[in-house]
Amino acid sequence: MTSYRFSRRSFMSLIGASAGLYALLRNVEAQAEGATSPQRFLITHHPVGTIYNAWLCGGSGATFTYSELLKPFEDAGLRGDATILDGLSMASIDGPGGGHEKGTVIMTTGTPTKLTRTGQTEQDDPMADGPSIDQLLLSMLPKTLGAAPIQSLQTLCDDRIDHQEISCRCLTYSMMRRDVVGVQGSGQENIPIRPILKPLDLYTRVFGSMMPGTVDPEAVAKNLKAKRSVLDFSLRELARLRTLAPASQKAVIDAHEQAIRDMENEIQGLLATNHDPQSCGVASVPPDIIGGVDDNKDHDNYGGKEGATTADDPLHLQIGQLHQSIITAAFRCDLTRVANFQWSPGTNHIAFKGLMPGEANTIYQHHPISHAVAAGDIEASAAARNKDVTFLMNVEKWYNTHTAEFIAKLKTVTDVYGNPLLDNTIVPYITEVARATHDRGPPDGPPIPVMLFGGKNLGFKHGKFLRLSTGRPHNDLWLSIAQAFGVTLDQLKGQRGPAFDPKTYSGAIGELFT
Amino acid sequence: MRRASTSALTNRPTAPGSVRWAQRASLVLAASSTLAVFGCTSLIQGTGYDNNSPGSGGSGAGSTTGNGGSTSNGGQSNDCDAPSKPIGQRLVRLTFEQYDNSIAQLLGPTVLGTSAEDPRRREFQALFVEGDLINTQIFQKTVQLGETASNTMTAGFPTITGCPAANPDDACATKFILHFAEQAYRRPLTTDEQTSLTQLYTDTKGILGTVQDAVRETTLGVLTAPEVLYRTEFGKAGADPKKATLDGYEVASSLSYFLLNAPPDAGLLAAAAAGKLTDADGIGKEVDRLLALDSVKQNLTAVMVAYYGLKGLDGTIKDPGLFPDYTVGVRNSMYNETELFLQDTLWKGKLDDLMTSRKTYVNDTLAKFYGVTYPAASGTDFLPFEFPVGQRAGILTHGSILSVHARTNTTSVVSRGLFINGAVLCVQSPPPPPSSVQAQVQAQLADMTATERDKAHYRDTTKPCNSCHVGFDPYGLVLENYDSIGRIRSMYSNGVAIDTTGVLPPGAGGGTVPDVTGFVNQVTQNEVFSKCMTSNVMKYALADASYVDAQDCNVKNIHDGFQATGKSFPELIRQIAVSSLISTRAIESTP
Repeated sequence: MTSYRFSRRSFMSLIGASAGLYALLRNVEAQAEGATSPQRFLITHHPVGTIYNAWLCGGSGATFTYSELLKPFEDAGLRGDATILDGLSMASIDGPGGGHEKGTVIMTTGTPTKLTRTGQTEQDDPMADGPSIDQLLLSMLPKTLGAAPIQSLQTLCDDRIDHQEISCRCLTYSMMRRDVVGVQGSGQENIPIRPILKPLDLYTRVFGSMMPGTVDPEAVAKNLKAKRSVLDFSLRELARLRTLAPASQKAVIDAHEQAIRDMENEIQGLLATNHDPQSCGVASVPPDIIGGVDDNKDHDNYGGKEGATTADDPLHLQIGQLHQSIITAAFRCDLTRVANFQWSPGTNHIAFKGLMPGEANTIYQHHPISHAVAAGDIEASAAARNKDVTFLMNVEKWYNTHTAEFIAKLKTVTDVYGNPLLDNTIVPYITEVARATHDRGPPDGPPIPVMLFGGKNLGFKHGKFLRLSTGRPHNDLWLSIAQAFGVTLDQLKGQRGPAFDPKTYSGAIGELFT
Repeated sequence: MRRASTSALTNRPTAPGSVRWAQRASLVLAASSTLAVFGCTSLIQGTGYDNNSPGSGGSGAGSTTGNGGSTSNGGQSNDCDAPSKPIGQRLVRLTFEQYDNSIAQLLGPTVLGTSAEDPRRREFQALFVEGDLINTQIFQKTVQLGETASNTMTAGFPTITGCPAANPDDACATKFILHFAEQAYRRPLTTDEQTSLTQLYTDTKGILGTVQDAVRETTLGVLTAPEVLYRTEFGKAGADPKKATLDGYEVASSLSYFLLNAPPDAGLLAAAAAGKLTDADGIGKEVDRLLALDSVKQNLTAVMVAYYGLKGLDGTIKDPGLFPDYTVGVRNSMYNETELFLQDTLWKGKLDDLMTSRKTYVNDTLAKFYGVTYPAASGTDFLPFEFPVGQRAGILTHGSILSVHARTNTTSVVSRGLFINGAVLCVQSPPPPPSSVQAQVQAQLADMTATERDKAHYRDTTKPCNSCHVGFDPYGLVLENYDSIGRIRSMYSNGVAIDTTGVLPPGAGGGTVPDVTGFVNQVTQNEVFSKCMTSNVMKYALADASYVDAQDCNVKNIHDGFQATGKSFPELIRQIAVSSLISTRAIESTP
């Protein structure tokens, strides 16, 4: 039987002589012209919340001590580039769906869920009733966030979930909506934009089949122009089809036309932009490897079956680092300004070796172990913590350590304008539930743990631990970020989907800017 | 504490003192077991469609179209609801598998290589799983597939185009492009289309400089043109201004993608060109020709494999400590058994045989697994086999179906019940229970001594669970004598004898049946099964999952025709293919 493997090849199909000086020349030209670094937005995510009493820092404001769980960020030199936010809650935004499932959707859309997908074992996989914040801001800021050739990138390091749910493995939802029928009846959903799993596919998405350091700009430009002609032809034919089709098919044709224009815009941007991988910081084409890929089956390893025979963490880290390096390169060369990076779904099956205390050689899966703990276990003091809770903490430290490495890299890598990427990139680090018991903040449980990095040149003043009022809406994080990009709450209200409820925001978090 | 197992997985004992969550799989039961506070009857009136096949995914994925306002009356009456709103003129996007097959027909079966869709992962309603709109993601994937295909022009230029390798001229290139486009568009080109294609060739040659490169890019243009990516159902109005009759080429495409999942063959295109696809007789002749083709039989068998969710078997995990017999070899043999059963029964038997036939195929592995004698002295091939009365009958008792719709360590009355609810009876599944009843769910699941029958009894006698569970639990209960991997058993592990009695809801005809044989006999005799199958095959054929309802008069008309002409699957296909549902579309009124 043919095994499914989608081999992506982009429309850049020629290689040629080296053009390594191209980026340097462009950099010099840009500085001479007085260009400034673009604004960027990078959402990073880790699964399954936290152990609150090990996450909570001591002190507050600028005088605080990093907690055990968050210390990796301080160790990576990010104290001055980070704000820790305590008190946020998503509990007031609800709807059908499982804990992780709706948590993930609501986390980036800020909108209640209405419908869950049919055709799955559990029927708790919600659809989005609003766009995700990254797509919303992209649509509102076409000249800043949206001015790069590639509108946005979505990445995921491991795709495995429990029961076919899409929600846990997708952070991004389009502005476009489509008619659907869910378990609860008819309605609409904002179309999910599924992430790229394989680093090689991400590389190809950004750089095509170009080998680092071997780009012939003329040959590449010719190919791009030829592809543009192909797209012009598609638009011509679509315009002809539009004259023949009934009015009921307008949405179909509009969507298709938009897709062609998106690709045309990308080509236009690429024609004007350096895209040599080497000059962007990618020394070699990534290996053809992939993390865990879901097989569309049910995965019921709970209740004593959380063990595994093979550890995933080495590959998980490798995939993560490859994705991170390509995102960094794409930011560096201004090939995109919006991206997200998801380690794994809330309902993941990532197996870690040696993280169960006192068991150096045993291997357990993260999300399944999270179902072995109850609220009382999570809330136990350090002295009374059981092994499963400690395992969860060790996994979180693993994620925090390797996310810190990524963000620290953004601090050292400069863009083509010579400025550190992090200074113009806003990087929230979020999670879909407050803790393993699926609650999503006060009053149901402890707050959702959030950190915010970067964006100094957009007004953020970091180096703080902010103890916000208990139950502060999680959407205030997005409002704060929108404000930093120049978008107000009133403007957001006008853009959001029909489920937008002003009660889910209270206002921008002013302390982030003072 | 769980008993020691030989599993290679690390099994962890329950940590003393901690409140453990039940297995996530149990939450499937729980989520489906405990209910929303509203009554379940409202759900039976849903108009929703399933974005996936009735039998796809894991256990419990059994929802399909709801009945449009009343439950099935068991087929005892001639009543039907007024026909659903007819399908309007529309564009229908080719699924990726259909697109792959279109490229294969144009450029050869190997051009896409591993980029092609995996046929073993086919969805029953692929269009609605992938999305019926061409958005940015779908367009990007389409362009990349088109590039993979068009890039083969580089090495295969003279063979593919018929133009010389050295110094090909524009005339030869243009001739090839127009011929290629006509094949790809599945109809003759209009003058404007010819001009547009020639312009693309000229533009790309001006940029790239060579005939070969320009032909490659123009081929990409053709492969990603809307004329290829959609099939149109516009037609022309006739005497009735509200009804459009599809033209011959549109009918050809509609039939071919229904029957072959591929573009029209030469015979269909010739019939279209000769004007022979304008009435039921002409269409009927072509349909009869196509139904005799092996490729059509293979495709429609694959559709039914997808319908019953057989892809869910690949990688179905069972506790190896409890089920050491459930090997990869057994699992693969189960898949092959059901595939061969479908191949045989669909094309040689009656439709109802899918539910009732004791005939199947076994190899030596499966014979041993089922505890029967392999029907040959030696060998390993799959051979026809008939189960004795009372052992197994129909697809519901296949190891494949029973294994997919069960948990890793035990059966699942709810999962099997929901599957049958959707795939056999066309009843929409209820939503999962709300979070407000989760405590009840957890409490029931924590009870490890209760059998599935005990748990079903609890749900069926407890509010609010019972308002929904009485509607599908019985279908799982009648299968309780087959364990989590489909082996026959007569008692639970605690020694309690298994009771397979089912009190059937009105949707299945009501009454009490002693076991699954009683159930399948009832739903075939009262025609609930065949009506549901008619409805679902119509959905597939029309690529419109929201259209049909088992009580709809259009469904009834097709079903009546099928009943009158032999009650076979090919006849059901024929009835649909020659009906006006394929060849006419409603014209929307212009405001």
